[in-house]
Amino acid sequence: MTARQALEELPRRLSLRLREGTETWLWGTVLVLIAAGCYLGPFVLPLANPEATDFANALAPIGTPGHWLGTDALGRDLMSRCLHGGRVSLTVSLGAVALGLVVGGTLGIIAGYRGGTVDAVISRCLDVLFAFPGLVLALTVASYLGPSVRNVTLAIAFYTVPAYARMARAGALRVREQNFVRAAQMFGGRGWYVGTRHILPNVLFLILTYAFVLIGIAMVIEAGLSFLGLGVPPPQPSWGQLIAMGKQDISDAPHIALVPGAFLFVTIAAFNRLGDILQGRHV
Amino acid sequence: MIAFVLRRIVQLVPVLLGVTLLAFLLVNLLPGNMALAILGPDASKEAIAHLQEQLGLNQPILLRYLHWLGHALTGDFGWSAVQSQPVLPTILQRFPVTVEIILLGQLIGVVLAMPCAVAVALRPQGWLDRLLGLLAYGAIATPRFLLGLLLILGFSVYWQLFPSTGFVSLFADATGNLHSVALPAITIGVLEFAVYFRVLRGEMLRNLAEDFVLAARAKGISPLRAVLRHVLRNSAVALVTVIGIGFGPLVSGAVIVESLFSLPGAGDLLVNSIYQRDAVMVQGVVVIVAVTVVLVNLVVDIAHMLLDPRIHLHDG
Repeated sequence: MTARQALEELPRRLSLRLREGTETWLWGTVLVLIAAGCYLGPFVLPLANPEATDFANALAPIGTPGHWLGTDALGRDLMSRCLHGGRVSLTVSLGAVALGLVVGGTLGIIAGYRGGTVDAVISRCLDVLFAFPGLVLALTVASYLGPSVRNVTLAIAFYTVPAYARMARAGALRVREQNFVRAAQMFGGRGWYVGTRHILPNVLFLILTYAFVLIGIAMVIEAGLSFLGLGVPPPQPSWGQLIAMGKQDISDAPHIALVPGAFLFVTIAAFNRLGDILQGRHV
Repeated sequence: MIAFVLRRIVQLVPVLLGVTLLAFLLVNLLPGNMALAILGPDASKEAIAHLQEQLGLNQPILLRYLHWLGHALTGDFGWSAVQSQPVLPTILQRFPVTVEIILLGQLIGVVLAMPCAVAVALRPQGWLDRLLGLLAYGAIATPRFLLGLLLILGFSVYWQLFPSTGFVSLFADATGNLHSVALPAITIGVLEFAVYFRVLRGEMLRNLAEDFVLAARAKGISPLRAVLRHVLRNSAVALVTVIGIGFGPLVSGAVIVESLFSLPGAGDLLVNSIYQRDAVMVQGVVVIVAVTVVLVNLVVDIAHMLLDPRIHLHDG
């Protein structure tokens, strides 16, 4: 590209950059607001107790003073329930993805970098895990471990660990062939040294951006478990559970299901979009 | 070609062994005693011990696995005490419903995604491209049960076009069957459309830049014909792969959709067996699902190779 071409390209590229920048900030702000609302909201905002029933105001529509997002059939405040419920959804998905990142990422890097028998064994194990659809495996594990935040996180990790391992393995395979890795090996670098100093930093960006996409998937699985009644049990609300409860009143008061649905949708969309922008896969 | 297929099948053996072992261990190792589950919480210690003896639960786990596997290979997946039914026939009776809604959903996805991707390939970055891109984004961020609820709200509660629950067998009444699975199939189809559209669009834009398209255009072929004859055909291989690989994840979707719309499929069977702590049935469903996924992936691999002769060079 000549200097002149580069100069002519500049306005277009800058506007693209700016657009990406604005979008990143926008979705980032949305996520921070939701996370702050869920984790800090119950302490800071004048919210009703999520379990407090108020039969006089049962099935209140959106916009009712005092219950801005309405109430459910027992008159419980939906705003309060959604913010409390978001804690479970966010904690479980972030936890499962963090587990996937550490365990799956390590396994993937080892398999991709070492190759040979180690790779074959790890890869076959991953193939086995991939044969089970995410929700089916999570359902089975969660039902036998018993419902709790920790166990649901573990159940979803059965999906995130192999997903991460596959990603990290592919990344490590690519980096392994590069000259700087060969050089490090020729200077006598051992597996651990080359792995942590040369492979890891070069797949780290890939791994971290993949977390955003995976959190979206983990949230869908968590919500699915809760929707089926096999997630974190009541009285602790979660978004999937709130939507399942709103199902009974879908014809009279659809907002009971749709308000937590909107929270879930916006959060997943924000994670997906940020993941795509960071990976440079966006349209 | 045959060598390739044979090698793939040989590679499958350890995976299939692993799949059955994991499914067996999941149900048998984790807390939750099978004898206790069958007899209920009030059972006496002697009765539990007796049943454990009877079920062979006192033997080492690996021996029990081999014993179970031997029976499973002959089609005997055990007896569900909860349902008073043999496991395999019950699953086989439920499985067609699951396969039907998955296939219909995939069909809806393909039928919608192909013309959309062709239209977009004719005018990349146009308003239609942006609009469809946005829609696909929205669809991917919507969990299936939420979409299903929205469809129920629109098509059953508001317009009263389709039922929200109930299932009519395909063999009893074909139109009634389509009517009863319409909403479940659309629920699955919308997300599939979004995934297929994104894959097909990316693949087609990549192929558009290839020399063979330029050559075709230079020969005087119209843009539409070039896209249909040359770009779409070359991009379809990726679509076939995505559809095939998507089968496994779709079983997860079917579990949710069957539960939401009360369809008597394998997913519904799995969820209900879990509620009723019917371990033998859970194990059977999980194994059958996982083995099906492995076999579908094998077929996808082979189809991929048949469709794209270039792959011979690497794998042949």
